Amino acid sequence: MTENVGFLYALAHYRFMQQALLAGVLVGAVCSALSVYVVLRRMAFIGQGISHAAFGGVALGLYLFQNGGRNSPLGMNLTTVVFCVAVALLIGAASKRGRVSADSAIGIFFAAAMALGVILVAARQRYTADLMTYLFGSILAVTPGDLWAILAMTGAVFLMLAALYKELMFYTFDEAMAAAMGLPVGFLHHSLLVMLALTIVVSMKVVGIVLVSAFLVIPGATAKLLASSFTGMMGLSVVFGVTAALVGLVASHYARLPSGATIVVAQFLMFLAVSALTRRTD
Amino acid sequence: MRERTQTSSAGVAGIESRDALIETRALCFAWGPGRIALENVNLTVPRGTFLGIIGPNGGGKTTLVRLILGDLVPTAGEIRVFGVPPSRLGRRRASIGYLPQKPTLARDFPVTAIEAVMMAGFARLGPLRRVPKWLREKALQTLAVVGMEADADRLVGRLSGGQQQRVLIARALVNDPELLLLDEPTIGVDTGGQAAFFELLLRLREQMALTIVMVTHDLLQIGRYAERLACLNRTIHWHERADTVTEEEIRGAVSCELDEFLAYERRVAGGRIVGSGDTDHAPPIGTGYHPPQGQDRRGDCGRRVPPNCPAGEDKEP
Repeated sequence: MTENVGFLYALAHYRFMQQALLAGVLVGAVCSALSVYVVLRRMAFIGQGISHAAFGGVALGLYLFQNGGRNSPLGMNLTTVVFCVAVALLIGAASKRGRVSADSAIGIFFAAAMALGVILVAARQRYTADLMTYLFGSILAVTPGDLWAILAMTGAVFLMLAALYKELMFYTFDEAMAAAMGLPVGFLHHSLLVMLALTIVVSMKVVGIVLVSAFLVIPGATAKLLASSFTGMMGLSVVFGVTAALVGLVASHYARLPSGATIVVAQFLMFLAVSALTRRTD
Repeated sequence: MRERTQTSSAGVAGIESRDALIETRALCFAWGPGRIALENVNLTVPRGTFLGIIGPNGGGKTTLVRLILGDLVPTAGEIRVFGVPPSRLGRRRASIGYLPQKPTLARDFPVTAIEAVMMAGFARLGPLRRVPKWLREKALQTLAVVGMEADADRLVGRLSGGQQQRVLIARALVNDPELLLLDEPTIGVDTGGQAAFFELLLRLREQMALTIVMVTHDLLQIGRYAERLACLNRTIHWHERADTVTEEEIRGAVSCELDEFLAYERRVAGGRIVGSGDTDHAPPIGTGYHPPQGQDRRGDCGRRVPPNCPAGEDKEP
């Protein structure tokens, strides 16, 4: 793109633009749905922990499967998924045991995973420009393969959310009571962690490891300011997440800015606007 | 079953009732070696009773509640709810309406009163199912029973403390329970609100043929409204008709909570709690109550049974 064509023109004529838009909307939607639980269960730090730990997973995947002569994107992606889910479950297990507090457990695991990542990157015999894609995201570089992965993961997460909607609502609202009524709260907690890990893995290409935690907090926090019911908060959060993704993509196209960061700024401006508007009515 | 017949023919406690909703026999629970919370608790709750369980903080009240719910498993002894061990209640668990201690209602949690009430029905539905219409209607009816139907769509966090409590009662009632289990329900509710709350309970008990078990450290209120009283301080010290319990017995059993007793003495007249109602003749503060000297804070409280609980393991740390 040497000259700055119109967004709709680009969308109509360039396949990479269509893929970018679809990826942005899907990731925006799934992250903002999960952000409802992240905000209400105060899991923001867990989200940040898993996303940073994902760096270790990406580095491990690159080291094992895209190193020297080897090149297996599938192996690389699977390694990242397994690594992130494992870290998420480890964080969950360590914080439930009660020997370390939850925030210490997160701090320990995410630092260790990142350290592993740094070491593996240094040990790899290849130029590591592709690593920057995972750190800061590059939505225009989304390949059809990435898009299929995003579709599959967001589909899986939305199915899980739909299947456990009532149960997760109860668990989020009143864990003790949900347990007393016989709901499997441990299973629900771990399901949330797994969904977070899956979502973070597929969001990396779009927003990057560094900024994905914003996707998992800001839409939910914005929706909470306006919501008059749990279901309402879920709907508003998804609307905010998708709108911010569209606005951010269009803005990044015209201003030639990094897409992930631009979407986060759009989310942030929405949050500011909503909190200013709701302050007056309170 | 066989074991049970033997126990009753032996007449261990002499309080066996055929229609007992809750029955415990030599029930023990320990959090770990030497950390005994309950020992030799023998308690029978016949259908239709309003039982108040009083006792000092740390006396094992909430532990007993969690055992009844099947949330904890006894270290020794036996507990039966609706005739079976609570862990095997399965779907009948929904027949226990439960109001937890200090419910963790986040003030800013976006959940409406009706959503909060419906949640108690979710466990029965199973995953994948959408919230059915009948549950919504049932929740609305139950909110009407506690006088909150007009606030069904308001956020729980925006309701007053007393209104929130009524929503939580509606939540406990939405499954048409036979047993209503309340753990310190009046904490943080003002005196006027407490009286209204107890009146509501009495009305519900009549309307819905409920058996009520309430754990509390508020001696005055529970003594006025409950039909039977039990004092729990590691074990049950007495367990009888509320109007036969004397002040001395309460003092003996709860001898460790001095502050509570001073407050109690300020409020209660004569040797009876039930029916006294009249607080003008309260004995002067501090009379007649002497905390035991040089004893463990829990006191021996006239323990009749020697400690013989084996140490157990936590189901939940």
